Amino acid sequence: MFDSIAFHPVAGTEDRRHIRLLALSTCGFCRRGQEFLEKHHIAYEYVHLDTLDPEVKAAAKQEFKDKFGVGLSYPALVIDDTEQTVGYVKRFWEDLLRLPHEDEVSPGESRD
Amino acid sequence: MTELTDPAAARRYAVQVARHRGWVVNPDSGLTDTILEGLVTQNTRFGKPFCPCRDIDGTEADRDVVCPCRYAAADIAECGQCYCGLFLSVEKDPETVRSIPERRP
Repeated sequence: MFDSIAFHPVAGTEDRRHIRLLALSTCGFCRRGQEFLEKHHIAYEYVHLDTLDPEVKAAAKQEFKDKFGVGLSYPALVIDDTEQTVGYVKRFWEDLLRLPHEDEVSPGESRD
Repeated sequence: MTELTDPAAARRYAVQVARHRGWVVNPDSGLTDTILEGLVTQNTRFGKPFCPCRDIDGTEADRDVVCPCRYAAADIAECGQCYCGLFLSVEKDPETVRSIPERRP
């Protein structure tokens, strides 16, 4: 997927899966997602779509929609070109990356 | 052009908006600082402080996502936060801020 995009690699000790992050350079949740991956020493590649040529960006958005049946929003995590999640919700990322859940209180959940 | 030339000016703008709308600016600086820098970038690119968490072209069609976006009030009423997490309801626990579903059509 995304053959026309030059992704930026980030090294990590956990590199058994091919992780790609589609992000915006201006987005707080995208930054938070990158921090999450780096905290867990996960090797990944990222691209800031807002810095791409508009035609390349449009093609990437269409490819994502064709492949996964949902519109691209940010950040989007793509694993082995077969699984994805959009938005940064730590618990979903932990599930997708097969990591144990850290303590997290979701909206509407009690802390007790 | 809104004069959001640096993050400090963007913060003043956000505080002013929040005060006017009965919201608060997210006190989580780890998230908010990136958003404020993003607002400055958007303002520099397009002449308006478009939502930094949305992929936009800066055209008239994106007018609905100039910060505060048209969907912020509904998102804050329903989820306690706006889409990018900059603005919160008074009651919202900042630790629970996360990506929420896109309301924009």
